[in-house]
Amino acid sequence: MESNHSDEKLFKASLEGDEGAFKVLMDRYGDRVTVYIAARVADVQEAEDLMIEAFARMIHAAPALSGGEGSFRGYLFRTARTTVLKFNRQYRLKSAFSLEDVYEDPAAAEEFSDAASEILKNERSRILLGCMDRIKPEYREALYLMYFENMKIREIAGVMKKSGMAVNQLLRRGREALRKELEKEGITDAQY
Amino acid sequence: MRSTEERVDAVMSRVRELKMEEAAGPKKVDLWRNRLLVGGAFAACLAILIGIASYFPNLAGVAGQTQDMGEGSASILAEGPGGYIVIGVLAFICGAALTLLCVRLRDRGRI
Repeated sequence: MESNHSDEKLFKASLEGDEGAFKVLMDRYGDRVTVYIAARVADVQEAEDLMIEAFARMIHAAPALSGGEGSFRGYLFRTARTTVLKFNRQYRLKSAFSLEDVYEDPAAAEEFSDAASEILKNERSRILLGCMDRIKPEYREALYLMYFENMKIREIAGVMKKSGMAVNQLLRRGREALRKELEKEGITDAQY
Repeated sequence: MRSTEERVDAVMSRVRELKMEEAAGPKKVDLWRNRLLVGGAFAACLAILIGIASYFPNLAGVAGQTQDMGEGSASILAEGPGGYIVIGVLAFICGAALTLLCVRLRDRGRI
């Protein structure tokens, strides 16, 4: 299957047994979901295993996606979030969303091959991530999904299991908290 | 880190496992553990209810008529406001426990 097809089409083809379509999806989302999970488990190897678990659970559940753009991505991140929360509950680990452990592990940062590694390696991004780690985990997660994953409010609400209004409020407060942290680091020209 | 092909293989392998687990049904140990857990929780709730009912036999009476209550309740409720505080705290604990239970059930996707 062509790699320029939408996620939803590729997922449908994957469910029908097209392994090539699934490879494209894995290329698109494998690292991104791993980074998202690693922010909650602080171990990249474990995060990769959980990413595989999330993909497997999604394929096993074979959800009938609404067909709208982003419905696959929203469902995948929601499944990843549920999987990692379950894992953390099982092993009684902290569940706060923190990117610090991900980018502080240079070996892990080296291994991400796509845009994720750019986020982790770029100095300005590192300062941004450092500041993000000083704000509330809920703000951090909402901002991450909005600005790193380019999700829409509706998608973020689906992933975080909150209403659109609650997500808007999280984003507003998160931006305000982040702006204050960035100012402490000497960055006063941040654009949102 | 695995390559894309290795990741795809790992996902497919896990999907096969999930299908087999589903076909086998819930594990017997889990089933019995869950039944014991539910039964135990039910018995504990019943015991608490019976305990409270026997400790405050005239709880349904008019507020302030503490002189009609039994010995156990009188010791707590004789002071008047103290009784309301105890009942308030108990009600708060019950409410908080129920809320926690609902949150946990929701997180597990059961409701």
